Amino acid sequence: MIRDITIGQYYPQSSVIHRLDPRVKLLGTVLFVVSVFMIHSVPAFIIVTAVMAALIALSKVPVSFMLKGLKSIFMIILLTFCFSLFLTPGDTLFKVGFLNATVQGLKTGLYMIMRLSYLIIGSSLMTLTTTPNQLTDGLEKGLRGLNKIHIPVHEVAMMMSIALRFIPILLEEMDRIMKAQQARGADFESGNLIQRAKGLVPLLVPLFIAAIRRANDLAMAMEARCYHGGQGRTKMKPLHYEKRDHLAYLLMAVYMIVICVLRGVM
Amino acid sequence: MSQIRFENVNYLYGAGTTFEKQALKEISFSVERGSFIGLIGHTGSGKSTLIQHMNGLIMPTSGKVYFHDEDITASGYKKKELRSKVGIVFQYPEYQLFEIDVLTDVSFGPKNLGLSTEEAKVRAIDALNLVGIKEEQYTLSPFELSGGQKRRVAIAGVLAMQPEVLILDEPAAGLDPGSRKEILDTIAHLYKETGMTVILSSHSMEDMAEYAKRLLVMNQGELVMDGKPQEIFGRYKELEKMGLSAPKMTYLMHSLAEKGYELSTDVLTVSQASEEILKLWRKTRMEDGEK
Repeated sequence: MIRDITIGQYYPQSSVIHRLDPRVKLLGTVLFVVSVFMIHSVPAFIIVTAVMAALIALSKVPVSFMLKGLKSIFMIILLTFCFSLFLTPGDTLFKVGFLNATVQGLKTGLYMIMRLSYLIIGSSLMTLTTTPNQLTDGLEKGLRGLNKIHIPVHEVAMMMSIALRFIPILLEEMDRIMKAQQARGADFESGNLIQRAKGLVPLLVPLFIAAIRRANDLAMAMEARCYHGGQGRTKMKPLHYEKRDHLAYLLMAVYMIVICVLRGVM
Repeated sequence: MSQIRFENVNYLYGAGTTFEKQALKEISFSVERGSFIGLIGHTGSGKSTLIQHMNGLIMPTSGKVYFHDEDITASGYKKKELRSKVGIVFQYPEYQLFEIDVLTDVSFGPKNLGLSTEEAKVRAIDALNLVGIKEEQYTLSPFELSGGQKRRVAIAGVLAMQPEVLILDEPAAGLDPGSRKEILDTIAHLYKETGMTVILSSHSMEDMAEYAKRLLVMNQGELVMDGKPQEIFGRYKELEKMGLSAPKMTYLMHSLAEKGYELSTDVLTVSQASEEILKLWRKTRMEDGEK
């Protein structure tokens, strides 16, 4: 159940997308999300879809993996669709009781479904092809400029990578504690809301203790290796732009111009 | 009638994904009431997965698990009752402690069985007595205890449910030699006192030689050997191929026998070995005297 979460998961594969500089992928994802919210017409929609399909094909990650992320937000998508379908004023399409479905609502609803799912697929594409370490490296280097206004970029990036690193560890720990308490007759599945909330105490107390214990150990281990923050710290694998990265930037610029033009025209 | 029986149990982790891994392959065996079984195998050989099948925490991908000839994989089987009969103490069980004091924590299990607070307390006190925790420690926070004591409290937490079968996954892992022996002796004492079935997994062949009456050997998800410790440790060359070993005394007796001493190689513990060597020494001295 918990292991089904795919957001933030890396899919090892050797492809052009995997080899791209993380900064390129970060900016690309941001631009893609912006473009998804800019389009209003069918041709633009076709272009976005084609670009996304091409990227997925290039990444060599199975499509089923991309779609898995959608499962978790299925309810949100459904609700958004229903809201736009029934609450947008316009020409009546059909009626359910006092609810009035409109043609305009159907159109906005469909666009909303498309936008939300592309948003998830687009960001899954980035996390599936980039290791958490690359991602934080990319963020750190890409946002280096913020150091000038006294934002501790390195520390924030370090915190992020530690947090990401701890997700699977804590999930595993939770699984273990859950089984141990189930072996003592604990019940996490039945009962009303209050009983269930109370039932979580035997799970949460050991989990918090474990998290604090691990954080303590990690801090000790980092200090033992003389970690002292970002000042003067060098990288084992410094990020370098390659030819393909420049090409990717160029393609991104072309893509954004096309999207902007289409929005202006239609 | 067997107490626990496995029939062609297979288990796949992450079925249908790229991370699919077969953790158990065609496991069949049965456990008789009142036995003391040692489970050995390299890290990742499937020991823990096997253990979790015994009280229904994991369901087999295919195959059947029976408890008192009842199929626990059948739908509608009461798993809560099964879990009270088959108690599992996981690795590092002290990490499951959560209550404000020792006594309340140990009462958690029996309370989950639907007993009243009073009855649960009686059972908790019995269990704490069995593992040797003193009365003045009942009101302490479980986090104030030493590592060995925490572990005993955690074992008591499972014992308080009064299971018929007690399963312990590496109960001595990460303890100093003193606490190690204490924990294992406590388990041996429990076995003698209550006559419950005990299944113990461990990395230490010495511990297995000393306590277990039957050994199950796991390798890469398969049950490769099943028999008396003497038989199994006699096949130490096969064990070594699986990254395991035999007790040091087995090696000693084998190398002595190779040198031409007439000794039994069925020896597993230090006391048995010293007895065997003394016997040979006396015999040779008597023969020398006759000459």
